[in-house]
Amino acid sequence: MNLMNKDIWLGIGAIAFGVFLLVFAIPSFVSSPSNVPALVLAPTFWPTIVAYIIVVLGAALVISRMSGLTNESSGETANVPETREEQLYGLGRLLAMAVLMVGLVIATPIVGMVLATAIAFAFFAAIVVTPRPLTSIVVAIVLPLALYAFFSHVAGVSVPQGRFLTLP
Amino acid sequence: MIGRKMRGLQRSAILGLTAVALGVGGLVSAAAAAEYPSRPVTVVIPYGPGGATDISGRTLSVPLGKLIPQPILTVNRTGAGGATGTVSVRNAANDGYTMMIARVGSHTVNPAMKATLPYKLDEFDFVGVYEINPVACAVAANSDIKTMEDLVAKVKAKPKSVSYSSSGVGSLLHIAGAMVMREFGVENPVQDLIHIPLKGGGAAATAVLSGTATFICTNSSALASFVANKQLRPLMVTTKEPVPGFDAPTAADLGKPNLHQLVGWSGIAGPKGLPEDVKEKWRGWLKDAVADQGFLDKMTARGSVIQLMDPEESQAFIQNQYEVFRKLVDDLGMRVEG
Amino acid sequence: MNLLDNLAAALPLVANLESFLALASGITIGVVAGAIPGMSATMAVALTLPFTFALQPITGILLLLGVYKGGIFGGSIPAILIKTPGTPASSATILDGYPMAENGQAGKALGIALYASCTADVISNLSLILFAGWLASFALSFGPPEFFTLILFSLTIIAGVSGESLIKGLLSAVLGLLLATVGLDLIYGTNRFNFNDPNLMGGLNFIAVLIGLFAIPEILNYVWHPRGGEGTVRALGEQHVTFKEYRKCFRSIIRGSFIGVILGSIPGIGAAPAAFLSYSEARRRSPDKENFGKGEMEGVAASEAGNNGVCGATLIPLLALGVPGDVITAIVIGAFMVHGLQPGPMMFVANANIVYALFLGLIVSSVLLLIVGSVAVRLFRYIVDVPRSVLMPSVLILCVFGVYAVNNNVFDIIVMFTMGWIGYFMMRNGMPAAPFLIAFILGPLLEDNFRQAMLMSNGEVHILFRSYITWFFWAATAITIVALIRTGLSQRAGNRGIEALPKE
Repeated sequence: MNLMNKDIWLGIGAIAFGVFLLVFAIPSFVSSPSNVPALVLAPTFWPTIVAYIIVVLGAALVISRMSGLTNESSGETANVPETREEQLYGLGRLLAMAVLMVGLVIATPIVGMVLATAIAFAFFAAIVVTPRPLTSIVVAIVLPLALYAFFSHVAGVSVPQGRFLTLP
Repeated sequence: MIGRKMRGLQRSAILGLTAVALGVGGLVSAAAAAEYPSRPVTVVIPYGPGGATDISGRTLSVPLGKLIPQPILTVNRTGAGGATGTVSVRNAANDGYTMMIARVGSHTVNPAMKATLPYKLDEFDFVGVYEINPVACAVAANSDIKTMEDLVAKVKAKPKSVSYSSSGVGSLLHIAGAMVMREFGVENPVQDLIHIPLKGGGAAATAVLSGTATFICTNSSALASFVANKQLRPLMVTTKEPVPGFDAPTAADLGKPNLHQLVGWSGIAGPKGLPEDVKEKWRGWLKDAVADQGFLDKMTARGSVIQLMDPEESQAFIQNQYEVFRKLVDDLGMRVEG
Repeated sequence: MNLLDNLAAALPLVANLESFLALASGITIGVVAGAIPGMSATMAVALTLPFTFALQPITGILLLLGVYKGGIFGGSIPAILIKTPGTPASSATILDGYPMAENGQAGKALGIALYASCTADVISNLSLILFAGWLASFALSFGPPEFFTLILFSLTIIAGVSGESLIKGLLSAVLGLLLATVGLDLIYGTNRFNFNDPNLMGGLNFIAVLIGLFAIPEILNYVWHPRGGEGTVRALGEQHVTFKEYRKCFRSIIRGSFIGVILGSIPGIGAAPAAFLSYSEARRRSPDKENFGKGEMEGVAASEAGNNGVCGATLIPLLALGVPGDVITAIVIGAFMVHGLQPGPMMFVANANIVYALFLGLIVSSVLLLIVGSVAVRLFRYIVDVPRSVLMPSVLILCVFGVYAVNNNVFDIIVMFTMGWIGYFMMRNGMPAAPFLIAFILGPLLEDNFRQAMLMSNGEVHILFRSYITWFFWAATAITIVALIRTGLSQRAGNRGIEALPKE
């Protein structure tokens, strides 16, 4: 999909999101006291304006791309893998990263931040099939410990310790 | 190929780490049977670094650190007028290893004002209030308002012409402005005065300096340097005794004894159901900590009054202040519902 | 010659080993803390505060100011090297600093950041010494209406950092405005998009959003295509800034410094907007506009001049009025009060020797910053030589620890990761991240000041035109928008012609 079409979809998405805000999200999730003296003071005033601007900008994006008024904006700044197979692998790796992030957040209170990040490091290195497995293992062990030592003993942060392991 | 090798290494690394983990864990749990405290005590400060609560808590943690056999970790957990940090303490285990610096805003004004606050006052045990901050009301030095009578007369003559600044909805400053005005005979201070919330106590004082707001009622320590520099003029203090440096009548002089309730305070609290031995330990530690000369000097230099209450007194004092505020909020319709 | 007399009287208070040691160690602590994402300058100053109680007033305060200055500069190091701003103030430095590092010019980027910081520091300190009284009274004339118009004008920066497509830049900015509304309403204390979750009531943590927006997408991009960056030259960190290059950036540095001084002297704005404003001014006036955002040295210089210009100037309201301009100076006020000193106009009378001793110390601090900074740059530069396969997981873990440390809250890690995916989505769709960030910073200021102004006037709009300052910013905003539309139209006309040519 070229970026031109992507932009049109982006614009449509923005319009839909703006409408969702106006119709559902703002009335449901922004509470406004009944005795507000002026409209401009209401807590909903500002989010409503923002939602309208989203709709307008989304529409502007669609119109400008469809009518070809503006140049195609320059492509993805991201580096793109060449083959289709590579792209599939890339998506798989991203999915694995998402799993890693969720796991890290869940594991932190249970096993402690040091162990959780050490495992996350190793997992990350495995996802990208690191060319330097030995270095990765060493860093995976040393870096979390060093960060723990710094944050806990120098910066006075109470780094989560977990149920099994209590570091000094 | 590399991947498999990697995974093998990874597995052995994790095994190694687990082994170390179990070893260290075993050592620690061997020590855990000893009496409180056997591991570091976390003290949560529900406000940001550099604020009045933060400085008060950190100053207290210096003498406490000498008394408590384990390290104290003072951590800031900021947000939502103290609610974020307060809730985190409520949710913690009530074993005495997670305590907090409770403050007038987080434990009496907020619970009294906010209907949807995610915690209640009775979800906490107090082990001691150690600091009282007198409240003072002040106007800009170039203002034509010289006394409380002038201020009240101005409000009565033209409603909505007088404004006061606060450090946000549910702060001591918010309720103080309304409470003082009501005591002085303004029937409906919520309607007749304009409340201008700002972000933080510093900004609230600045707003009076720059003329954005007419007056402010806040902890005397927050105003001391402005009063000393003759940038602000104090109109009254809410204590029985005069506050040094504030050339203004006390609430007792003005015949408003109800306003003595209106003071700031800091104390130590934990989740409800703290064990008795934890409370007893803290009672002793606080007693010795507030006697520390360095602590006294630093706190009084900032204008606070060191006055220690034991757990029972603290509980009663806080409950009483809460009820006074709650009644005021009900009478004036100041409750935040949404 | 009153000034000189005062300075001479103050000299013995500063000219001793203790003061120099305090400043040097303060700056070192600051640079190290600033270089660690999540350890903001504010935290470093708060942590240093208890150590100053035992020291002489001057020594203690100089120590804190050293941490402050060091921290603001230190934040630029990770911004340039790993696209993770060490402090919020250094987020503008990323825009050109990281591309420079990618192009193999990390050494140059760090060098110009240091020189710009030190130059701005000197200017800021001199402004404090010479114009404190005048700037302080100017700052006090800023009420909510004036702030509102100033912030409105500052939002025009977005156009300068939008990159290729202004519409997408604005869209990104509006998302930032929306996310900034999460939390409790300032005026009524009611819930906004927080689902009654205490973690959301305080709003989204700024540093978590910042790191999520810049560092995490870069990591995800690496995961998407790990071998993509290979072959490009990232090392070669040992290039130095030549005097010619410094001279080329000099105008931007001076302009940025003064922007920093003016915004710094007004309480409540902070260093990040100053850096962005300085950056966008530098871009607007540069002949190589196109190169901004792709590794333009002047961009780094302007951002760093902007944020360091703020440092000395925040002491203006502090010393002249006793008003803290930001959280850091609020802590510094605490240090004054512990020693029985009360900042404000009377202090120039009662404790003039201390005030002038501080001035002298500040002048020395600029030189020390240069020395400590060069050592730090030399040491940190080697980070670029770390292979990506080790660097990227390390950055991830560093961010996890750092973001947790800000508020001791695991929830902030969730915010960072979520923002990371949003940021990655924006990156893949060519939506720039900088407008989002600017809007996230300025949006709440705009809304709060607007509503405070409305409270003051009982809902009358005319209060937004109450003073010369408001008129000035209304005019500036109008002129900027007109200029933007004009250049937009002429560019479009130009593009029509180019479009006929085959693309490369």
